Amino acid sequence: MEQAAIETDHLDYSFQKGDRILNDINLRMPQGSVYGFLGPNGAGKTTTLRLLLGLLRSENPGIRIFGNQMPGNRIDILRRTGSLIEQPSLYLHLTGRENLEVFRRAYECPATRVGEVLRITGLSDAAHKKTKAYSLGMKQRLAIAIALLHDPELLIMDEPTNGLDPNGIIEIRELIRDLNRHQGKTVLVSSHLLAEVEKLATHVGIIHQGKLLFQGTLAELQSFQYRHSFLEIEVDNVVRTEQILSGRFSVFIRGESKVHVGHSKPADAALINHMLVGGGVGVSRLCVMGNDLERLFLDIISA
Amino acid sequence: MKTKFFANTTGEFIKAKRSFALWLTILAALFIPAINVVILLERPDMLLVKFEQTPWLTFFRFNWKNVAAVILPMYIILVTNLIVQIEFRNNTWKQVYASPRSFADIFFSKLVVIQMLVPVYILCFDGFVILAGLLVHSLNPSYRLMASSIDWGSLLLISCRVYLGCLAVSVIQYWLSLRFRNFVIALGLGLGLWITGIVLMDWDKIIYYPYVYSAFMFFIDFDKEPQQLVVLTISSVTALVLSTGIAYYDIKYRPERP
Repeated sequence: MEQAAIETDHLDYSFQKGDRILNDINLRMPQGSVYGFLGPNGAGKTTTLRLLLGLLRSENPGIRIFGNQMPGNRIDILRRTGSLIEQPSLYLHLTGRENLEVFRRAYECPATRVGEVLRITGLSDAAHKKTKAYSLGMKQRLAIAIALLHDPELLIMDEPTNGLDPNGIIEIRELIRDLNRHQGKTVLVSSHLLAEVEKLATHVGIIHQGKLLFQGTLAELQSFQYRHSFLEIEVDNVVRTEQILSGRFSVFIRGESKVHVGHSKPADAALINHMLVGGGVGVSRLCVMGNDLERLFLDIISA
Repeated sequence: MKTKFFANTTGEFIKAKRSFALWLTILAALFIPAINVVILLERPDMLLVKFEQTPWLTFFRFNWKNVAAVILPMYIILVTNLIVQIEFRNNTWKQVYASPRSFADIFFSKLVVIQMLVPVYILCFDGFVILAGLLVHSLNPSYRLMASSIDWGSLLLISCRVYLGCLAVSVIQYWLSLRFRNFVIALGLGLGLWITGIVLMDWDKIIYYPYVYSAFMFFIDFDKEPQQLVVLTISSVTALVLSTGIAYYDIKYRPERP
């Protein structure tokens, strides 16, 4: 079993008594993964991330990062963790380089590291500009540069593409992908956009109203999605179609020439077509329906 | 550990760079000496008599009386708020608390910056007072300020006593500024506590109220009441230790980081 970078054990949290924000969250985030933490606004993503970073106080939250308990080993854990929570945290009256200098001292890394992270995030030319003159994309990149200063093994990023234009989103996505693939960083990235997570993540956790509704690899999510999809087939004889398929598949007649057939894997489509044609049914159209992740996401959170 | 604390304290000084806190320090230090130059030059008929015996000591007291009672507490309330608001305004507290720094490091490194700014203010003020004295004398030699040597000893003594008296207030204001994201609350509470001190000046238990210590350190004649200096010194140090301990404990164990 691969070592988990982050594990939570029945994580609960309430800001006020009786008002439970997180309910029995059991995260398991493998090392080396890009874990997409997905959920609509107000689902509990930021609260979870704030607990992971020790920004919310909980006596025994059951959080283990690199196998160490949080908050008991807070400083050791934070030495190995870079973070970006909500919007970028930058001193707007200071330059990009000065911002990095402030945090370089906190992370105890050599002065050369400032130039390196500026280069990684493509901000070398803007290093001497005050950050209040930066675009949102540049601020986001500088915030990532701060998170990377101490070359952490784990990056925790809360909605890093929030508010960015399409170019900015692509840039940040490429940067995160590169950090994971070429620098071996484990990345936890939260988002309310499934399409964003789908393009980036190797693992996905879906949270809604403080509960973790799904957790697994992206492939498992896609397989889960497959189980929720069906084939829509246009045929010249729906009665005969039902006779041929009903022994192996669930068939629902949807009109004079249309049937919906449940299936579990891509190869089933070929088999169904073969069975129908072999049985003398003319197939004029066959397509997979209900397979978009957005729909699945909505199905999961509204289940 | 010490090296890391020192490094993080220099980081806190970088944050204060280009902030209004430094300008406030200079402007607040200049304010009273500048006004007093005008007063002395405009009303020599009333003031020359007072400056005959000990011109420099009289001039120091003439300036310090406003600072010890009003300007210094105001300056502390404002500068503490400004320094702490750098984090709130930029939404950077979460990044600070998510860095591998102990709570003590975070709390005390910023407190050091405030504790450095207050003596810098006092030094600037003392410097401006000397310059103001020289300017007054050069424009109206009847004040005879340059006829006698500068009474450095008295200036140092007044400065140190008033600084000791205001230490607890600077920590209490720091605590209030950390506690409330909305700077108006910390500012309003600070002003309210200071005005309360002025109102309760004649109360027999006023010695337990830190907001009046800096004024008492200046206005009480310790040559006549030497025991009061001991009481005030002990009260100031006790209030400093207690307020630091309580403030640190409260901030460390807050359920939520800002």
